[in-house]
Parts: sequence; C-alpha cells; structure tokens
Amino acid sequence: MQNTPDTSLGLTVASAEGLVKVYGSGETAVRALDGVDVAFERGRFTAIMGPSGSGKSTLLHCLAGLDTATAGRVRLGDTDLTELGDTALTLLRRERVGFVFQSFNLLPALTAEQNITFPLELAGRRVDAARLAALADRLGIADRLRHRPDELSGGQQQRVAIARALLPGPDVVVADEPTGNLDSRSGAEVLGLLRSSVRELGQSVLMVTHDAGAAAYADRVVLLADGRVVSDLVDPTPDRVLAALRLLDPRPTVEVAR
Amino acid sequence: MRKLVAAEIRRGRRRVVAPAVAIVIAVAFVTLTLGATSAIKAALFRQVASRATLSDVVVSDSPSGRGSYPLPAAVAARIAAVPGVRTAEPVHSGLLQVTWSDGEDWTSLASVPAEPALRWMRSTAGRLPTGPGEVAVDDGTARDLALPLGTTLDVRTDDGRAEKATVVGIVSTNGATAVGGLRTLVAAPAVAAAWTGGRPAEVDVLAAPGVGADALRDRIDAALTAAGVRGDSESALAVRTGAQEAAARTEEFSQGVDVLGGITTAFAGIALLVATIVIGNTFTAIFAQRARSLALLRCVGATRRQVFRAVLAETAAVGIVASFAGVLAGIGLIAVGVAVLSHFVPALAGAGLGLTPTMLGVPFAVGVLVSLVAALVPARRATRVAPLAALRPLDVAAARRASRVRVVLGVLVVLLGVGGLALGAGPLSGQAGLLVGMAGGAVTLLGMLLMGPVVVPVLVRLLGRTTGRWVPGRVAVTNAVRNPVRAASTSVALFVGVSLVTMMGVAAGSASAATETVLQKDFPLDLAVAAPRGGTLPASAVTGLGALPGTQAAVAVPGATVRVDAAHQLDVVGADPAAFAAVWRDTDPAHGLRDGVALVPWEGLEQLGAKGGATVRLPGLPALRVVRAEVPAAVVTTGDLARLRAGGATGGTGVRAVLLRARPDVVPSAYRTSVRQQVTGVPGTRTEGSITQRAEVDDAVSVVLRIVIGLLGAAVLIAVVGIANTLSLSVLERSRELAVQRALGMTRRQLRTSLTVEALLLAVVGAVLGVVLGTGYGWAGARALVGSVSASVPLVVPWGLVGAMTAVALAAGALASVLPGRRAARMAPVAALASE
Repeated sequence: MQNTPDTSLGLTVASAEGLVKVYGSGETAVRALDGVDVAFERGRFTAIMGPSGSGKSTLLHCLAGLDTATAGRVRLGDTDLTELGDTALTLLRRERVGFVFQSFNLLPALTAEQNITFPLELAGRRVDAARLAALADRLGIADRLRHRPDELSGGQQQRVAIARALLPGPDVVVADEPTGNLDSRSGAEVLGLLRSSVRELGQSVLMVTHDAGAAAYADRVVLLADGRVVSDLVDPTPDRVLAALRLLDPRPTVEVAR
Repeated sequence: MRKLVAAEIRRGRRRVVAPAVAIVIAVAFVTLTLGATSAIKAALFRQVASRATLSDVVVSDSPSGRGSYPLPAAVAARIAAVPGVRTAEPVHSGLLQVTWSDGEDWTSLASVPAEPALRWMRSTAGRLPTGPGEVAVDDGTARDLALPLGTTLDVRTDDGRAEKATVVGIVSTNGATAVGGLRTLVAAPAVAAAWTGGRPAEVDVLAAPGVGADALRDRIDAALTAAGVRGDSESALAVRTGAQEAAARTEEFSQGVDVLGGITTAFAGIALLVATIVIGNTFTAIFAQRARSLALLRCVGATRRQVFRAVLAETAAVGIVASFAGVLAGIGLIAVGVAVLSHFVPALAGAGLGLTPTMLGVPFAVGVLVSLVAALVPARRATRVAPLAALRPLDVAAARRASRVRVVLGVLVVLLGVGGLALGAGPLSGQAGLLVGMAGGAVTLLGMLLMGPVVVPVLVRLLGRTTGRWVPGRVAVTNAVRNPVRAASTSVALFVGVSLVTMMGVAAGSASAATETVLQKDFPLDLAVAAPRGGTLPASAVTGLGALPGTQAAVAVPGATVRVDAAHQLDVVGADPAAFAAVWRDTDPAHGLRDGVALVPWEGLEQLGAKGGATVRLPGLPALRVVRAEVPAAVVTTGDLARLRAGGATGGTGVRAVLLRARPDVVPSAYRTSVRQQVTGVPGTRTEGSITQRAEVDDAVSVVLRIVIGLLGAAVLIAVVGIANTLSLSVLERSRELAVQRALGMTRRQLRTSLTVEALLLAVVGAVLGVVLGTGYGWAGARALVGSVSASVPLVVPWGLVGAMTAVALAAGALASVLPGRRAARMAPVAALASE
C-alpha cells in the first residue's frame, strides 16, 4: 500500500533526488543509500523507518547537512546542500537545523540553560529570554535550568535537548531515535512534545525510529529498505506500520495468518 | 599475553608517540649534561694539565705552576746536577699588560723551552721567537685580531717597565693555554725571564734513558732537601712526576667543574621530574581510554596481575626504544654543542666526545626507569576497571577531582617551604642559610604540585573571564578545567621550567645589584684612567671621557713623580677637593681629600714604606698623613701637588689621569668598553675601579646564566610537549562531545581556536605562576648568597627575561595546539555520533 505523497500541496522543507551514499571503496564499499527520491512537507511530523542497515540514519544525516552525498541532490528548503562546503554546511546546521539524539548528547560541563542557548551563542545571536522561559515552561524543565546534565533524569535531559533544538526556530528538527534511551513513560512524553511542537508551533520534524509505536505519532511514515524508499504511509496507525514492516522482513514467517 | 601486547603496541602506535617524545627529550638532556661535564673536564685537562705530561718530573711551587711564588733562581742548576736528569728546563711565565688593537689586556707570557721535547706549542706561521723582543702569539688571538707578522706590541711588565714586542710567529697551543682564556705570548727563555721577574715558575725535567720518572722524582726530592732549598712550609717546593703534576692541576680546577657538574645534574633531575609528570599524565589518559579494551581482557579471563604485567611490558617496550633514541639524540647534541662552544673555548676543539659506558648507560637506564615509574600508578588504576565496564555503553570520562586531603597537605607543604625560604633569606646565613633556603624552595615546588588541582582551575577561570561571551573562549575555559588534576599537571610542567629560569635571572640581577653596593664601598672610584708613569693623556681622550653618555662626573688630574729616596718613587696626582668629592664615593670624612692628607694605593704605601694612617715626610711636604685607598696613584690636593713640585717632584702639567663617576643606571661592561675605546691610542694606560670589578662579575654571571638558561630550556621544551599531549588526549577523550558541537554548528575554525585558547590558558597560568614564584625564589636566593656581605639586597626583576618567558609560554601554547586542533577539525561530525 504505497501512497505517494502529494507534494504539490504545502511547501517542501527538505528533499532528496536520486540520493546515493557510498562508504568506503573497492571491495569493502557499502552502498548505504541507493537512489532515494523523497520530499518532506513543511509543518509535518514525518517518521523514517526501516530494518537495520536500511540507511535511515544515513538519509537523516544527509538531509541535516551532517554528511555529504556521493551522488544525487539534497535540498533544505531552497538550498542545495550538495554544493556547500564544510563551513557553509556548519553554518546551515547552526541556523536552520535542530538536533535531537538518542543519547541526548548534552555538553556535560554546561548547565541545562547553557546547553539550550549553545547554538545561539555559537552564532553570536542574542538569546530572547522570554522565548526561552516560555519554551522551558512548555517542556516542563523551567525549574531545572541551572542543573548540569548529570543531575537530570533521562527524560529531563531529552527535553533539554528538544528545547536546544527548538529555541533558534529552525527550518526542521531532526530526531535520531529520540526515545531509544528512555523508559516508555518518558518516551511517550517526548513524542507528545514533538508532536505538539508540530501542531502548535508549526515546526517541521523528521524522526528516525525503529519503534512502530513511536512512528504512529507521526503524520507520515517513510519506509526504507536496502537504501531505497519502499513504502510511504500517511496518517499511520501502529498496526499499519507493523504490517508494512513485516512485508520488508526477509525472514520467512513460520505461521501465516489466515 | 605477549602476542597481545605486541599487537596492542602495533595498533596503538600513534598513542605512544607523545610519551615517547617526552622520554626522548628527557633522556637526551640527561645524556647531554653528563657528556657536557665529561667534555668540559677533558677540555680542562688539556688546557690546564696536559702540558705537564710532557715532562717526566716537574718541580713547581704551587699546583697551578703560574709562578705565584717563583722558585729560587739557582734551583734549575741544582736539579740539572742530579744524576739521571737529561734536561732541567726552567719555565718562565707570568702576566703582562699588552696593548692589543682592541685595548689593553692582561696577557700570559711563557718561555719557549729550549728542549724541543718539552715544547707544548707548535709553530704554525713564521718561526719561534729566539731573540730579544721577539714573541709569538697564540693562534686564537692571531685569528681574532687578524694580527699580521711583524706587528709590534706595547707591553708593560708586572713591575711597571714598558717594553716592545715584535710578533715573529704564530703558535698553536692545542688548548694548553693559561686558564681563563687569556691571550698568550711565548718568547725565548731569556726574554721571558727578563719580563717576568727573572725567577722561574717551575722546572720541567726530562729523565735520561733508562731512568724511571718516579725514581727520578725521589732523587730530585732528596737532592733538593739535602741542599736545603726544598723550602720551608710557607714556600715548599712540590716535586712531582709529570702525571702527578697533571693530576694535581686538574684536581685544583675540577672542583669548579664538579660544582658545575652538580648543578647540571640538578637540572637534569628537574628535566626528569617534568618528564615524569608529563609521561604520567599521558599514560593516565591512555589507560583511561583503553579502559574498555582492558575490561574486555578481564571479561575473557585475564587476571588483574596479567593485565598489569601486560601494560607494564608495553610501557617498558616504549621506554626502552625511546630511551635508546634519547641517548642517540643526546650524543648528537653533545657533538653539536662541542662544535659550537669550541669557538669560545678553543680547548674543547679536538678534545673528542669522551663517551664512556656510564655516560651512555646511565641515561638509558634512567629513561626506562622513569617510564616505568610514571606508568605505575596509572597502570594499577587501569587494572581496577571492572570487567563489566566492557559491556556498558560508553560514558564520559569522569573528571578527577583532587582529594581534600591532598589539597590541605599541599597548603601545609607550601607554608613549610615558604618558612624555609624565609629562614634562608633572613636570619640564617652562609652555607646553612643557602641549604635551608634551597630546601624550602624545593618544598614549595612540591606543595604547588599538590595544590595545583585547586589553584590552576581557579586561575584559568579568572584568566578566562577576559574572553567574555566569545564562544570558543568559553568552551576553552570549560574544557581546560573539567579535569583539574590533568590541567594542573600540564600547567605545572611549564611552571617548573619558567620558575627556575626566572629564579636564575632574578638571583643574578639582585645579587649583582647587591654586590654593586659592596664594590662601591671597597672601590670608591668608579673608574680611573691613568697614563703610565711619565706619560699624559691626550686632550682628545680627556674630553672624550667626560663626554661619554655614561659619565656623570669626570675630574682630570695632573701628576708628578716624587723621589722618596734613592730606590723608591711615588706617583702622585693632584685634585681639587671639591671636584674630587664629585667622583669619590666614600663619604667618610677621615677618607676625604684635604691639605695634608694623601690617599695612597698599596703600591704607593710600599714605595713609602709606610702603613695606612702613618705620617710621612716628603720633599715639599713635611707632614703628610697617608690614608690607604683604592686609587691609581697617590692623590693629594692641587695645593699639595704644587708644594711637592716646589720640593722637586718631576712631571709636566699634562693630564696624568681622569677620575670618573658613572651614572647610576650604567651597564658596567658597556661603560668599561666605551672608556677603553677613548684611550686605545695611548699605550700603557690602566683602567681600574669598581666598574671593572663589577664588569668582571657581570661577565662571569652572564656566562653562567646563559648556560643555565640553555639547560632549563630543555625542561621548558618537555613542558611544551606536555601541553600538546594533554590537548591531544583531551580531544580524543571528548571526541563524541566535539562531534556534537560540530553538529550543532561549531565551525572547524571555531574548534581549532577553542583548542588554541585552551592551550594558551594552561600555558599562561603556568608561566605566570612560574614568574611569580621564580621571582620569590630568586630574591630569596640572592639574599642567602649575598646577604652576609651586603646589608640590602634589592629586588631586580629582569623584565626582558620575564617578557621573553611569557612570549615563550604563549608561543608554546599556540604551537602545542596545532596538531591536536588539526586532528579534531578533521573528525567528521557523523563518524563520532554513531552510537556504539
């Protein structure tokens, strides 16, 4: 059941055309992405899923300007990332991309507040104190701002990371397995916060996940296998996602449901 | 296990570069100091003693054989009469004042032995001098002054006679010149005898064939004793074989070398200390990084002991290879150093490197030992890693905070050390004071090492405030202090080198300034330029001297010669008392100049046959009280001079001498040179005073200072390696964090900048601490050294040196951050972000 998204509706926040990514060379070359064509809409929560080795993280990294394509094009908004050098990519990441990682990746020597304002400080931009306060409130971490990461729980750390991603008002928030290191309750909280940022703030969010339940929070699920897009679901439910995943599973099923 | 160790070494090759470099430098340094001491000793031997080995027996009056107390004239003949003696050659040697093209200078004169086998000089141009007035000059001097053959030199003998010497040849002495780098002249025995007072300084004896040196020595000894010329206890003759004489002379001078050797060994020890700190640091970080792989070993069944041994074996391998390389490097350095120094000290050339097994073996063993010791504690800690750590996800390296006990201990130790310093600088005096002070200083150093983890981060943060909100600066500050123990070790390594260099500079400056006061008391005349007896200084010279920028006051005085009696004459100059007071630093009224009082030097007192304070009678002045003073000639008032002239004193009205007072801020050696330049055209001029004394002290001090600073430079170099080390390892440790920062938008340049700032912070803190403490040590040291002689020891900070050290520290920091910065910037953000 492949629904091709209608990208003529709404604007595209990120896209890939014929994207190829190869690691290594010669005999040990790994073709992580094998010609990916996909476009993501602005103001939507999109999940990218697939079995391990499908290239989902690689796709995310290319879209976010963390990695460069071997062939094909990557666009963020109107900017062609394939033509940018390292410094330009770095500045782009700073201004237009927000990151949420599986292992939180907060800088351990800084307080929560300092972590949140870090990208702005890098850019030399002034921090809007009111905006920071509102964001902290909304994410439920207003009383933890002066604490260091090792004084925060996993859920709190991830929420600090989300605040860090949202504060500069980026084009897109890129989340790589954001609930991977969280218990189910904190995980649900984080996913809810991501979704509400989309609904209420109009933020675009791209999330890589292997968890069907997490994917169900998204507006759309793109499925990858062996470096290619194989499936595209709009308004997914957990069941539909699981069904699509099972189709990709190369292992023969012992029992076939009748 | 062995295979594993070898495999680990091969794989982790890059890791061990840093500690290996530190070991190489430290070992090279130790080799250098040992070798340098040995080379200097060998050179000294050639310079001082090798001459003696040409003879079978040497009869002299003192170990140095420089004729301090010449031998009785007839001794040579008596020795020649002893059976078994083939030749007994009297050696005439002494000092002359020779006017060279660059000024007048003390010069050594020695006779050319008639017996060719005893000739310690070789003619390289012209011929050996044979006749009256002929001399040959040493090749070093001939080269320095571009002296052509046939040049005539003005010579003044020790007893004041003016002679002329014609250079007929150049001789090579193979370094066997007088000690102290004096220029050397050789002349025929008769000439040398005439110019050095007639009595030989030593007698060199060659044995007849078949007669042993020892036997001959005993015979000569017996013969001289029997003849009653062996001498009494005050001036006993020394009868030794050539070898014994050489040994005795070396012994006398090697005391100085042993002190130098002791000092250089101390500095080698310091370099080793710094190296140990750096290596210890490095291994700590390396083993921390390898904690997971070590834990894996434990998981699969290796015991703690096996892991420990494997780690030590790896360290030992690194230590052995690096120490070997270090010894080779050290030998290379010695060769270079000898080649460079032999320009200044000719005796070193051709002395060979004198390598001995000890010289090579000791540094090697020390290097290996230091690596093992430095790695011991980190290695033990590494084995404590729980096997489970191999299975846990990666986590951030825990910051090592210093334990409270350590900090408190550090404070106590520092206080103890400061107490020792204060004692040595104040109440205790002399040797005891110096020792206590030095011990105190060393203890404060130890205290700083202990307290470092608290002090250094505080200072880094303070310094870091200057960067304000600039992100690379802020990142640098946080990273620099996150591991206080490591930050402290890094800074302290540089601190040790800087503080010692500063200490030497401050000590030298302060001691020199203190001795200035003392010398001015002993030599109330800064400088006196005096023409020889019967001569005058030309008007151009007189005005020139007064016009020198360093001259504060100048008094030109006329002179005369007074006949005291048939055999004695007194040189006298006359000065106006008021003008004289302007140049005379002695404010004691009893030593002041007025009618009826004469300030007389000891040569004058000798001529008068009087002691200071006595009243003498001179033609024209019936009652003249003589006061002993350091003046070039007896000084009386102009009025008294007129009376003496009326009484028959001879001498024209020209200027006999110019008395000078220098400005307070003048540099002694520079002023002395400028004064000498004014009178180069006047042969036989003497320039003496407190300035010449101070200049000599300054010259000696600056030589020592240069050597010391050169030696300490090695310690600083090691410290720089230490900073680069720390930075590389901290980059490796933080690779994940750096990747996050890059992902969030930190550009490569911002990253490199933050690393440079991090290095600069640590370097500057180390340097500043070093300068501050070094100044304290130096001043205390100067007080301990000179305090007994001079009441006040001013604090003289060599700002040039301090500025240079700070610049070096900054450069070190910047340099140290280049490689780690490149490596960090090269890391792709993605690669490090990938979860395990």
